Amino acid sequence: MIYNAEDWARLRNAVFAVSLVAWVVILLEPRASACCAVNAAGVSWTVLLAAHPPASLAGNWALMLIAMMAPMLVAPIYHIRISSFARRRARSTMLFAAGYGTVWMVAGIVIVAVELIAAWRMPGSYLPATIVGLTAVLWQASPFKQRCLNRCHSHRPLAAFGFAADLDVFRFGLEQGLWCTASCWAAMLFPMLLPEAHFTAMAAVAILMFCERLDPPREPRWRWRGFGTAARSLSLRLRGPQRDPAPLTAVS
Amino acid sequence: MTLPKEAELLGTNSGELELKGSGASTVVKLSTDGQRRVAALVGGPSAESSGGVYLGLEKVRGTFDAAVLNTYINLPEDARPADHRDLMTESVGLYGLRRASTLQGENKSPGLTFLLDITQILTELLTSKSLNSEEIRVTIVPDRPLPDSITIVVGRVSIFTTSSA
Repeated sequence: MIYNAEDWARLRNAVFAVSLVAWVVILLEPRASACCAVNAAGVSWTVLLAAHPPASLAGNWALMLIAMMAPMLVAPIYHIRISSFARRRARSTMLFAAGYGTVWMVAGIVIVAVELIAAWRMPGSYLPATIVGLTAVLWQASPFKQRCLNRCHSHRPLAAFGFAADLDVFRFGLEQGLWCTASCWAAMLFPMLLPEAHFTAMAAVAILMFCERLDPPREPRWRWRGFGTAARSLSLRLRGPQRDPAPLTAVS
Repeated sequence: MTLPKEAELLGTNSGELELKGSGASTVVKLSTDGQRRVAALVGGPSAESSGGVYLGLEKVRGTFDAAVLNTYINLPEDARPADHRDLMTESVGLYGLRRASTLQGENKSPGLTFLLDITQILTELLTSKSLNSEEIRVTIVPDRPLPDSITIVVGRVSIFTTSSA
């Protein structure tokens, strides 16, 4: 409700730090990332499933989500913080994260299953990644994607007292998770299907998804989107502070 | 100049408030800490360091731009607003309401949000001991009655405070 730049910066830094830790874990132990964990060359489906137990896949998927998605949650978490009583902020944030994570974990069942099937049927092939990559490019430019992004920007009023407040932030997490999943599913699937260069692809997709959230909501229509606001912001920073125009002088 | 520090929520009403005809009232329930912070406006130990208190009208939505809303604090039920000008905080114009209420438009989220400074009026009500410390009644009255077919919705009515840095 009342925006405070310092409070925003503190929250942003904390969320980015959480994301950074997840990235470091993935970088140091690539097999800890869901997108790098499947190796199915020449094995049967049964052996493949035995080599990748569901708990391990779920943990890896969760780590990948934290690394890639956390930076996009600064705005909704800030909305929760300024809409909640101070003593409830941590609890509300946790409930929001639980709702948001639930949707992505359910979506992860489908996404990881597609990854496993692709790795089993076409090990080492770029074909699945190419198909999904082209789908992701098409989805990225579509009006349906814009509708999802617009919904991600929507932060509705939240109840403040009692169980209603808990339920409201959990529902808010579910809603954000739903529209975020609808917006990012193709981009998230793409790096997981690549036979190599997973980390680079993950980083590129994470940057794209973060930058597209910086763009304001727009009318849904076909257009390229993703780096408009980020490019303008970077350009302004690189050019530095601009001089004021010359003052007007009286002409006699 | 002192910049406001982090804002803190003191209380909210229980849900959406629909405005029709000549307006509507709602009750903002204060948290325990909120009651203490409001009481501190008058002579409390932190009275000097406390900042402003603000009434928030969040996510106001509707299709009728040509309205001005007058907000009152602690207006008695069935009282004529015109007889209690001392309880009026501020007026807000709803210019841009229709556009702001379009979900897929350029706006970041549907609706308009207004923040009104109610520090002065709360202080006066507390000084005269005519304010319930647990609940604050907020009445919103259009300057002219709304047409029958028009409803304006206030997503949430809330009270905030900030303290000076």
